Parts: sequence; C-alpha cells; structure tokens
Amino acid sequence: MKCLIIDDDVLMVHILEELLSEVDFVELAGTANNAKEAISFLHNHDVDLIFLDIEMPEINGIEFLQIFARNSVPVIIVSSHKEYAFDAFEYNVIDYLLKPIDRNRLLKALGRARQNGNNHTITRESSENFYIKVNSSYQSVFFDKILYVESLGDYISVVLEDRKITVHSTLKKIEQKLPERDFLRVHNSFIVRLDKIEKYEDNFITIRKALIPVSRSHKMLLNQKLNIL
Amino acid sequence: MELFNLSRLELYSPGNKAFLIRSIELLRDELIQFDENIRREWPQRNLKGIRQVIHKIKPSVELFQFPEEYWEALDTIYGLDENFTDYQSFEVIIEKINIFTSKILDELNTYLKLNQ
Repeated sequence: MKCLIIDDDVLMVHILEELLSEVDFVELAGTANNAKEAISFLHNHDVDLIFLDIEMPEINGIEFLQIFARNSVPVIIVSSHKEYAFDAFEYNVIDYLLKPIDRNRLLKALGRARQNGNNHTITRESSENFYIKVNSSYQSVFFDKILYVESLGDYISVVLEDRKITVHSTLKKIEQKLPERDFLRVHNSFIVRLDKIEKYEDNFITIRKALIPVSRSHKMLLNQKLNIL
Repeated sequence: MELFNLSRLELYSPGNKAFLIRSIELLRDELIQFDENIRREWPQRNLKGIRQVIHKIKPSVELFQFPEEYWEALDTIYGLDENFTDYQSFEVIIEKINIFTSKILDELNTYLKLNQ
C-alpha cells in the first residue's frame, strides 16, 4: 500500500515515517510539507493512502479534502485537533488519529485502510471522470459524484449530487464506462453507486430520498457487494 | 531537573539511537522556530498567530513530556478570548514560556552534544 504523508510538522513526519517503515504492507511513496506540494505529487504518482494533517499554512487539510474530494484515495487524518473530525468524515476519511500518534491506533487505522484498499485500485485524478455529450458540449462527470443512473426508455438520467443530466443513451453503454468496483446494476432500469446507498430494505434501496427498486436477479450480487455486518 | 523525557519517543522505535537523535534534532529546530515565532507574534498582539504557533508545538510538548507548568502556561495563552486586549497582564506568562523554552533548548543541546 503506497502512502503519502502531508504535514508541515517535520518531527511528526519523521515519527510517522519510522512507524510506517516497520509495517510490511506499507510503502512510503512520498512526503509533502503542504497541500500544494501534495497536489503536485498526486498528479504524478498513484497512492493508496494519504496521511493528512489539518492545520497547515495556505491550504489546510479540510480545504485539501474539498479540493481533492473527487479522488477516491482514502485518507487518515493526523491532527492535534479533535474538533475537525465531524467535517473530515464528510470526505473519504477512514480514520482520525490524534497527535502525538499512538502506535497501536496507527496499526488499527492501517488495518482499516488495508481492508478498504482490498476493494480499490486507486488511480490518478484523470481517470476519475468521464464525459457526457450534452447538446454540443461535453460535460465532465466525476464518478464519485454520481448517485445513480436511471433508464428512461431511449434516454438515461445520470443523477449527480448537485444536478441531473439526461441524455440519449442506454444503461448498457454507461455501465461500460463506470468502474465496476463502485457501481452495480440493481434493476433493469437502475445502476447505483454502492457507497451512496443509505438504506437497503426489502426490495428497495434509498439514495437521497429516492427509492430505487432491486430486482430479484440482482439481489444476490448486491448482497455480496455490500459490506454487510 | 530534566525538562524533557524520552520514554514515549523510545516506544516508537525501541533501541534505535539514530531515530532518537534525529527526533531530538528536529525537536530542537521546532523549538527554536517556536521561540522566534512567539517573540515575534506577542509584541504584534497577533493572538491568532500565537494560537497557531502554540497549536503546532503541543504534540511535541506532550510527546516529550515537558513540565506541567510549561503546558499550563501555553494552555492559558492558547485559551485567551478572541476579543482579549489586556496583553500586559499576561506578559508574565509569556516570559515564563520564553524562559522554559530556552532552558529546554539548553538541555536538548547538551543531550545532543553528549550523545552524538
């Protein structure tokens, strides 16, 4: 698992580097002393996990998460502030460690990241989106902003977090564009993004108040894909 | 009196002297920067800046178990209200922080001299 540490506190970076060097499934891909440096690093390198400080000059950790929200790289926050936890978990944050780091807590967080990573191959920003032709223009659609896709006869509606795009196409066509790990067809007329499912009850899924039917033939695969306790 | 304690740091990499020494060097650099920042921000009455400076040093204060008095002094300044104006009444605490910082720096330098 390739990691990037983003922190302007060099002592804490040094400690984290040492702790990570002892974990066999972790490889330190790089360190960055600020968010700008990190963004530039991430344009050229693939990483599987980011350790992120919150209090940093210019762009702080929360702002970094906002900028980088479309990327699906899991993040472990390392901060001496507890109060940012609520904001941080709005993003792809899998754990929140307090400074100074506790070794056992770190190992636990890495275990969580590893489990998370088994279902993901993290890719660069450029492969996190695709384009939909709407009239004469091409609109960028980030995979992680899609809630679900609905078939409407000869048209499909791509329902995003902030808007809906309806175009002349088929579910089959869009299904080929979507990453298999994140999306699943749950009905002849619906493809959903798995991590957007808020509730799954009987034969229906709830995503942002929308009730989406799950057909019997797709139910078994859905049950397998969902991380059910 | 020892003003810092390495027991928690040692737990990160038991028996690794190089790691220990490098950590102390970095702590020393961090404290020098902290000292400079406090001495710059306080006369400018920049409470926000002072808070940031204190916030940055807090994990090290905890990790190296600096004296309780130092921790309390930092906490007092960190906790000052946004609208606080009475800087003079807290000069004594800032002075205490500055003295402690210098003493800790002396001890760190001595440690490094003896162990490098």
